[in-house]
Amino acid sequence: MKLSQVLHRQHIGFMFKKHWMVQGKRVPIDTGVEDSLKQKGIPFEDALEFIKEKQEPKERIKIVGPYEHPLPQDENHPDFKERPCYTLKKSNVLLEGISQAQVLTKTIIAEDVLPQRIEELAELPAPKAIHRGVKQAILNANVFDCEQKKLPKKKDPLRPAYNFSRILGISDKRRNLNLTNKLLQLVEKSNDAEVTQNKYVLNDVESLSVFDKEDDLIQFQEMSNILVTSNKPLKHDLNESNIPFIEIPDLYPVKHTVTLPPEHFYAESSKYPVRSSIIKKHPHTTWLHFNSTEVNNIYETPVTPTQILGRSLTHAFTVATAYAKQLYGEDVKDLPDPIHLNCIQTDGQRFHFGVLELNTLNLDGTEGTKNVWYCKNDLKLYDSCRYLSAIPVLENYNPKVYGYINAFYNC
Amino acid sequence: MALNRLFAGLSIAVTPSVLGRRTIQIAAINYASKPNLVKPKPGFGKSYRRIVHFPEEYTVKPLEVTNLAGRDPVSGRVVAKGIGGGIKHKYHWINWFRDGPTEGPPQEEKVIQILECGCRTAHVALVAVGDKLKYILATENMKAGDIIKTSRHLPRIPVRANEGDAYVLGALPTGTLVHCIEKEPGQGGLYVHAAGTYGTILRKQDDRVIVQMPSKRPFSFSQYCMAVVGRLSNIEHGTTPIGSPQRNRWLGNRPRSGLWRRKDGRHGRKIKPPKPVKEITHPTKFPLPTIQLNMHP
Repeated sequence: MKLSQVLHRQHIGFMFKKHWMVQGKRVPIDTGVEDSLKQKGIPFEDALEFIKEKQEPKERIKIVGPYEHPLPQDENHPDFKERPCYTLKKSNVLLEGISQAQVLTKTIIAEDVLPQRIEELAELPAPKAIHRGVKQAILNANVFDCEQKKLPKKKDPLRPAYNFSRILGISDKRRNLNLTNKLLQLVEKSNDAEVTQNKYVLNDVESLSVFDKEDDLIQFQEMSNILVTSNKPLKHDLNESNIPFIEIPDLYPVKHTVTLPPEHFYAESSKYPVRSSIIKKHPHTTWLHFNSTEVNNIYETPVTPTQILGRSLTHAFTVATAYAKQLYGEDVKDLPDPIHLNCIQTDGQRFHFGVLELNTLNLDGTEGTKNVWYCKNDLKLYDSCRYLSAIPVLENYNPKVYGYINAFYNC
Repeated sequence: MALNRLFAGLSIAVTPSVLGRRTIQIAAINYASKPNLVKPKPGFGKSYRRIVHFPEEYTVKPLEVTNLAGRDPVSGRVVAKGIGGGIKHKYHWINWFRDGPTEGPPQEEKVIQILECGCRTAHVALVAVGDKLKYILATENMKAGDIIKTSRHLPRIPVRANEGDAYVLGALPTGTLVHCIEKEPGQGGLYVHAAGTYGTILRKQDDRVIVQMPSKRPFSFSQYCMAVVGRLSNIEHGTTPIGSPQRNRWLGNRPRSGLWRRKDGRHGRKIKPPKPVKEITHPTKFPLPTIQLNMHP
């Protein structure tokens, strides 16, 4: 007794069912009538299209709804500008890093050299209490903070399918914020009232500078995480002549605007965060954070060290240019007095110090007066700071970094 | 229920026998319950593994992907067995068009980085030209900082090309290893993409160039088709065994039955005469669209 259906491969019933499905699809034979009519120039029309009623375009009535819909951001928008502007924001990085930044800002680099006065001030030893304070600040920022956010997933390239347990901890943005603010506060505490009363410390200020380079309109939008301003402009004595400068490189076949996305909606004039009527408006030092969760390449590979260094140069350039344009007007080319600006970039562990000397805003070509960037890169503040078998540990603290930060504040 | 009432008083006389009410009921229910579904067959370059969400403009940003697991997106049914699971990789949109100037010196491009793409066996190179960034397939000895050239110019004397350069087939000497060959001039490189593969230029006939494909079959291309010189990267891919069944699952292959008879069917030994040269041309006459006949108006 057969309890189950037997399905035969050749089953006349299935054939009948499929017959209509197969026979229902017919490919018409191409008689070539269409082509010969076209050659003779006789117009023809598909019969099934001819019998359809013609649809007249209906009038669009604009009904006033609960709110105004935002206009789409294309050519018909009133603020749309024809000429695209290449924008550098705080989340994107330049492709070639520091070489591209050199070409863009017409700067020559003095590697590992800082102005004489800063080096002298950095040599002065700080009291032990200050270093204790710095170590405590590092521990506070890295380990003793009670923020619990989901940190990026940990991946092992040798075991691609393994899902590690998700780590919760302090986000790098908050850690950098805590650390830098505390360091600056320590520096201010150890200095006299005459120095500190002349300076403002501003957090998270945006500066915007728009400039022309070889027919391309370029805009840098940067946010200084800390901007220290003072009541008189910063001046450095930079007379050293026997420094081996790194000249502006040739980026052929890559153009200097690569990885700068063009935008059609932008502001025409530069913006400096402090009004000109305030006495303490002259920029002194700018601090920049490198948060690996926020800053990344468009092609999603990790950011290289050269790209990080390029970022600090463009940042210092933005703040200095915005200030220069506020002082001398939008169209200034060669500055009567060079503008100096200190810049510190950090990702919590590594510190990159730099001093920008802005001489000119005429950035076409590679001849003429150039801007100078003195830098001291890759100073590690500590090797690691974490819990080691339930005890908070700070390994290999480097006291020189505090010396430089203090020097930058006091010069 | 409604069908029962519809066929309540019916009986059809077909040839000598009379079909009863019950038979009509069963047949009608069978027709209604199983839709006339057309499931496509896998093969001919279409694999039901993933759908890539392409934006309108070309971009270097890795693209989102949805895995299909062997299912046809139209009907939702399983079409290709043995596909499913695996690590989801983002798709790097490769620019298959290596366009160059028709006259004058070739266009130079700089290789920035070599990446591995999870959606293909060969490696991918990030290349920058002027303002633009694009991805191309990386060749064997390509490294960051290389300069590669492209040109569509057909000179009288063949060009001595380096690895990674792209020239028209007519410009390359016989015996060069090429990959990423265009079918029609201007269509984008279609042939030879897998890791470690290459085609060899055998001979030239009038205005066609005969290239031997990795399957040892000679193909005849128009001399204006672009091809990239060199052998594709990741050469050890063909010789590395997968290693473990778990690794096969990571690649997106579900377990298979494993039935294999050494001397039978497709596993057995085959001796065939070599196939003739296949001419690659783009068809100019296409058949008219199929008309679907149906019962409703």
